[in-house]
Amino acid sequence: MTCQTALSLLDDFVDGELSQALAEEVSVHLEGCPRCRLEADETKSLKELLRQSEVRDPGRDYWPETSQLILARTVQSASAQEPHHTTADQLADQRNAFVRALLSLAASLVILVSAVVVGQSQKSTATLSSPDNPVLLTSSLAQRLDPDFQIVTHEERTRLAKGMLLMGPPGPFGRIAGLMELINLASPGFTEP
Amino acid sequence: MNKEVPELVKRFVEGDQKAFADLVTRFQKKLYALAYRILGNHLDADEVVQETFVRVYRKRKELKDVNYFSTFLVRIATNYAIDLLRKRKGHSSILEDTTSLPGNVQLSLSHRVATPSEMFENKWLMEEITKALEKLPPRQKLTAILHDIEGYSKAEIADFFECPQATVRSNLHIARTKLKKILKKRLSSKEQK
Ligand SMILES: [Zn+2]
Repeated sequence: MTCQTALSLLDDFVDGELSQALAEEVSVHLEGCPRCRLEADETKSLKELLRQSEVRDPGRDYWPETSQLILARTVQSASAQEPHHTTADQLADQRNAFVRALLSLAASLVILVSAVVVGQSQKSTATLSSPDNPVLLTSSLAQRLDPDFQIVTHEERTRLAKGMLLMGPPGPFGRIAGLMELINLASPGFTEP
Repeated sequence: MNKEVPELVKRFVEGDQKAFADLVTRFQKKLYALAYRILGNHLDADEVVQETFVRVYRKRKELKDVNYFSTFLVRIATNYAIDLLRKRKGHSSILEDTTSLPGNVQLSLSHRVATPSEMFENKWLMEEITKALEKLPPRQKLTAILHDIEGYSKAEIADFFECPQATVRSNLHIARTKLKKILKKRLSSKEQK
């Protein structure tokens, strides 16, 4: 066996994934070749070293607290809507439809203008507590390109809904969606089917 | 314990919320350890854990085979972790002062139990390993962690990343070669022992 062949098989050799016959051939080569042997020993030591790395336990309270948080974001929010409301999935779909509609709007240059207008209208009406930067609005829209991204805060949803209402295309996925969202935010559950 | 998992998963997919809560409890530690190794700090690890379960909940209908729950979970977690890594690029994750973390009793997540003096030594080792891993691009880093630390097979990792096994092999080889270079001192001092 040449060094080149031996080296190409070393990872699998160290991982114990070669057939017995092939593993034996590699072993024989390593016995007679210090250079390849060193390579194999280093890979073995590296694996051992990595296995020693440990993760610090974040504390006993962390686990129940985190599972509570996760359940609050999923199961409990779904069951809170019952019986005549929607599941969390439908809610998420609805939000995503809203976000997608918003994104199609964002695709045009109009968004730059609208971002500024929304930014200014928010400042002038001063309905939101934090002074919103128009640039921030556009960058947060970019984040929404991720279809898995959920609108989390009430404030964010309000901001997007306002933008939709002011600048969105007419129709159920445009301004109407913005309006519904705003009404919904003002009185949760109102527009849920 | 593992025998019950497919049954739990089946109930979870059918909408059983208690089953979901049980799955969170069962898998959160494993997921946290993986996320911590990838991101190198508690806050990001926490974010990965929460977001992964929320996504698993929302995507549960996509889970075709209850036996693949763990793959499903890790796939979602690794994808999210890669996104976070890319986002963090440039301002690399801070190596946190582990003594300031809550819960000084640690190591419950590790592969082995260490004595107090080993724990001190291990803190430095952990930092060195984390720093070395940070020098790798996301895919190589994750492949090394999943294979050499977490013990997943190449086939499983190919499943997580939805890529050919050959890609996993080459990523692993490149990652190991780089790590051997970076951790050379550690490796040679080990070999002398
Ligand atoms: Zn050789």
